[in-house]
Amino acid sequence: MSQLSGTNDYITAAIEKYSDMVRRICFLYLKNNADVEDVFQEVFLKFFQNFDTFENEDHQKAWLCRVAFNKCKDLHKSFWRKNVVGLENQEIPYELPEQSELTKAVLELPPDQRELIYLHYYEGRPIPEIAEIMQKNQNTVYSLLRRAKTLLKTKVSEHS
Amino acid sequence: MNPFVNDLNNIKAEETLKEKTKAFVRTELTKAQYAKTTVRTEHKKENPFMKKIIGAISAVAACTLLVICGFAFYNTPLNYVSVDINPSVELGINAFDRVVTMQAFNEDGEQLLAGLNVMQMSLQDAVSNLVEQADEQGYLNDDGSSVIAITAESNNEQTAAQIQTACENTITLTLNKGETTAVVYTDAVTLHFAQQAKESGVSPGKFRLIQVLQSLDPTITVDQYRNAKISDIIAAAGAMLDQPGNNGNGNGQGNADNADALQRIRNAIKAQNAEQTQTQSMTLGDSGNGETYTEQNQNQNANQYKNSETQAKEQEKEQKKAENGNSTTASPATPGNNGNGNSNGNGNAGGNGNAGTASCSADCSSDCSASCSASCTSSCSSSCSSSCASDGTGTSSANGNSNGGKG
Repeated sequence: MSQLSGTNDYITAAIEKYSDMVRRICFLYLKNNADVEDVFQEVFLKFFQNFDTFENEDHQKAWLCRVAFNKCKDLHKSFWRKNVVGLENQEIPYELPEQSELTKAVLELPPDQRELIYLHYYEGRPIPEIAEIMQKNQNTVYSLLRRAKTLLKTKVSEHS
Repeated sequence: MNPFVNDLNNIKAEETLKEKTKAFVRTELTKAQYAKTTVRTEHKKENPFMKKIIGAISAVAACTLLVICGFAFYNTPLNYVSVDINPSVELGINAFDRVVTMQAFNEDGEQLLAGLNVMQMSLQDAVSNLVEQADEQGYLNDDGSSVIAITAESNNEQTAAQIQTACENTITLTLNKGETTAVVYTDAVTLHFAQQAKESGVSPGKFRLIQVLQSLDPTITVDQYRNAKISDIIAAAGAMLDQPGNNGNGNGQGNADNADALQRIRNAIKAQNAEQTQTQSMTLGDSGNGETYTEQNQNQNANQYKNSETQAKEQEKEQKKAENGNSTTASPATPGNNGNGNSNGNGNAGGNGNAGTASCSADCSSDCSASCSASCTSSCSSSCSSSCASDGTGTSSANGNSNGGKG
């Protein structure tokens, strides 16, 4: 850990590689720019503090996912507890131009289900991997997925 | 799910966000590295506080220690004074000449101490009170024949001498106030000698006098005189001095003469010791015999005296003794005796007795009148001076009896 300056060092490389992924995860839970920044700083600092322990890229990615999701979910919980009313005022700062109904529906899912949908449908990970990342029982994950799909169908049909 | 995927694909991390994060991470990691190599100074807060507490406690502890030490020092006897008449007591004196310990060596001593508490008094007050108490309890004879022996116990000659003189003066004053008289005999011993005395169960003062007796007669044991009055011991010594070979010094004299003799003897001893073996009189524990031996030699050869004045005194003493004939602890009735007659007996004085031609010295008259005190009156002084002037030939036996050893 001697190179702490310079533009092409390992810090820059890692951040460039994984920023988008972390940003997407933040999108699923956070509405606030400050919170996003908070997640980025904490997650990446931890990442680099544990940098020497990662065995490969997959390991890095899986680790980042898990930590990012956990941090986002924590913030999401505290956000909801502190600001029950007036939630509608909190506009999505980073709002997609044409957010599909489906995406809107996903954003309405409970936190764990959101994570599951992302991992399964966006990243295409198999259930065992998802179970590892989410630190849940595989059966639990299956149940969760079933439930999520049902919910989504309901929501989409409602919205449309 | 495609719409969802599509939407997510459109999401990119803002550049500013990325740059901020990079800067943040670099800073934090640098801090961490620095922190590892820097000495921790987290404990600063604790130290000043702890130091104050420790400082305060130390101060209190130091003060307490000083108080305890001071208290101990104050109550530690530095020298001792042995007061013997018949009762034997010993007072311990601290560095400030205050009485811090009292000890009795016989029943009479205990009686004496029981009657009064001299602790914390100055030495002079204590001695004065003791003498008065002794008088009240009847330990001082009406005829003034009692001898009060004051023995300073110290390893410092000056201190010892100061104690002797001071006590002598104090007692003289005390006696003058009242109706009684007594003879004051002072001496000094080392603390080592005093220790030996105590081991034998005898007061140092008395032990010293017994030692003197032993110098005259080696067969004498401590037990013989363990319970004797000081005056008795002195009488016994005097008796021995009277015997042939000892310079035939007569004893029996009036109180005044005894007192005179005592005074002179005392002076003589001091002078002798000053000239000859000063250490001997002070370090009695060890060389008591030597001293006596020397005295005996002196007796036999007046020429050993280095001090002519001393010689003169000695000769005068001898002369007076010769005049009076023998007497020991004679009863007062015996003419020429006082019951004391022992004054000469302070063999220590070096019962010199060669009745050589004595040239009276000036001291004679002065000593005489001084020692006479109230009871003596004019006759005393006159006889003294006259005998002195007569030049050695014991002129008038009349002298000796001036006081009427009538008892």
